[in-house]
Amino acid sequence: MSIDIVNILIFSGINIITVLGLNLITGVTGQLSLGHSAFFSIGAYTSALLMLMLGVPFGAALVIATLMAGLIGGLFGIPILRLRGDYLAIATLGFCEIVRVVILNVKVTIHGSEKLLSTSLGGIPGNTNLILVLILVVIATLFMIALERSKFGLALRSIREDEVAAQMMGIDIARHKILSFAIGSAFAGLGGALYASYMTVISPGDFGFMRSIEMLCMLVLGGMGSIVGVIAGTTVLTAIPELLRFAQEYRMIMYGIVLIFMMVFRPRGLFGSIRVNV
Amino acid sequence: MSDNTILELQNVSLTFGGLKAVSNVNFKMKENEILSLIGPNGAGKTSTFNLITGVYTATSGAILYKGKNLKKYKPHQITNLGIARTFQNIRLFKQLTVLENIILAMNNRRHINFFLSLLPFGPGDTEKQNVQKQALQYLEYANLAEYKDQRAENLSYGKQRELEICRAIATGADLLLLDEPAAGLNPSETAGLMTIIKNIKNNLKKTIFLIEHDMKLVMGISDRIVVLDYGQKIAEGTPEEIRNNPAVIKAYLGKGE
Repeated sequence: MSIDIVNILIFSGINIITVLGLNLITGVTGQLSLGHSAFFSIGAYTSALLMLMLGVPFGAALVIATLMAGLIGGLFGIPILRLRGDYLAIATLGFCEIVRVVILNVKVTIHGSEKLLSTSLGGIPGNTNLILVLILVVIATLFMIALERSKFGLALRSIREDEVAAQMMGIDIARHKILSFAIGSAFAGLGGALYASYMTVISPGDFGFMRSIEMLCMLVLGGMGSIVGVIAGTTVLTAIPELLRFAQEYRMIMYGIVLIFMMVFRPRGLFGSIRVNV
Repeated sequence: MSDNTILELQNVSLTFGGLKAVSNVNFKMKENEILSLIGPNGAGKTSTFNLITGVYTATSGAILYKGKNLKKYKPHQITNLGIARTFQNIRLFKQLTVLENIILAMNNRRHINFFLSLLPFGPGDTEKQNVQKQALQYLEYANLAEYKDQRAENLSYGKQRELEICRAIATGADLLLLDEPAAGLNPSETAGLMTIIKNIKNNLKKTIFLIEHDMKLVMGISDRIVVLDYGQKIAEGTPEEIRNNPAVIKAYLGKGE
């Protein structure tokens, strides 16, 4: 049982880091993303392949995976962040699928033998532990709190409130949105890299579109734009399926019921105090 | 060009498909004057504002601000050149506090390294406290300081209008475009607004470009008035000249029998 709790804490921590990134994009900047799991998978595969193919040490792999997800997030943000609302959501969803399909078709050489990434990738050094995850959660949380209160964070919140008005107050909204997307994606990349080194085996099926939805649910349950909410919502929704593992497939019904009740009784989430009209 | 011209529209036209929203409009604004743009609904007044602020690009013609052609600037860059506006339907950052609304407007005058701005101590913190102090001064000027920690959406309608004007001033702009600031205000609030606009001109030395339907306000505070009808300038002059201009009377009241 004690092992289970460590397990839940590690998964919660990984998800908190990832969902903090999504909160920056969706809760703070107001840009609905359904492609967050793509950056999670980019982080996971970047770090896993760096370690397996090039023997890069774990710490360096974590950093590179984070930067890689941030870079791709930023580049991807340039063309699509001129879209708004549901159009943006569909575009991010498309990106999520692209990343998945690319991974399915990549062939890599590990220790001299060719391997298709469509099958599961194993043998990843299992360096993720509870202490590391907790330290990174604390750093990520403090960073996000500071970011939201900074000049940059205020500009992001103003974009969420009214893009046109923000622009008319002199905010370069394109630049701010792209940076927000890049930073948020980097957090997902870090989460993914930690995940890969905790699971030691990853496969493209771990990172589908449903994973993005799951992340969004954690954010909505906790309350968009609320960092305390991210921590609470993520922990609750990570723990429910694990604690109800005995109920097998029925546990997902619980998950759904929790979300429905939330939307009816607390539409702004457990700790949310703002409306986000994406 | 006389040296105190702040804004000049030269043969500006804006076409949407076959519709001419603004057609060959010419006028100049002098520094520190109040110029009102009036005309019936759909005359192209807000389109003119959108052209100046870069929301639309003129189909032909040029808009010069302090001698610079605005064509090559994006909307946010135009604000940074010194033009700020308010909106016909109030567009505050509703869920941000009153103070945050002002601080945001000062964004481009804040020079602080991104990483330093994250730290709760050192130069980033000093800068943040300074900007809060300055923002509070703007609010004090506008008599809104007591509301500083409230969400903007919780202010009364009249106060929201005032906050929006205050926010435009806080950008540091020299030219303020006010789009129907008296819309939805009661007569006493409108009278208050007149005083506010006069003070902005006289004390803060700003130039004000006003769109307004309330003729008492327009006639009371304008130095000059430009009248648009169907996208064309039909008259320009002092309030007295405009009041007696037959073309203006025709545009507003129709042609007498």
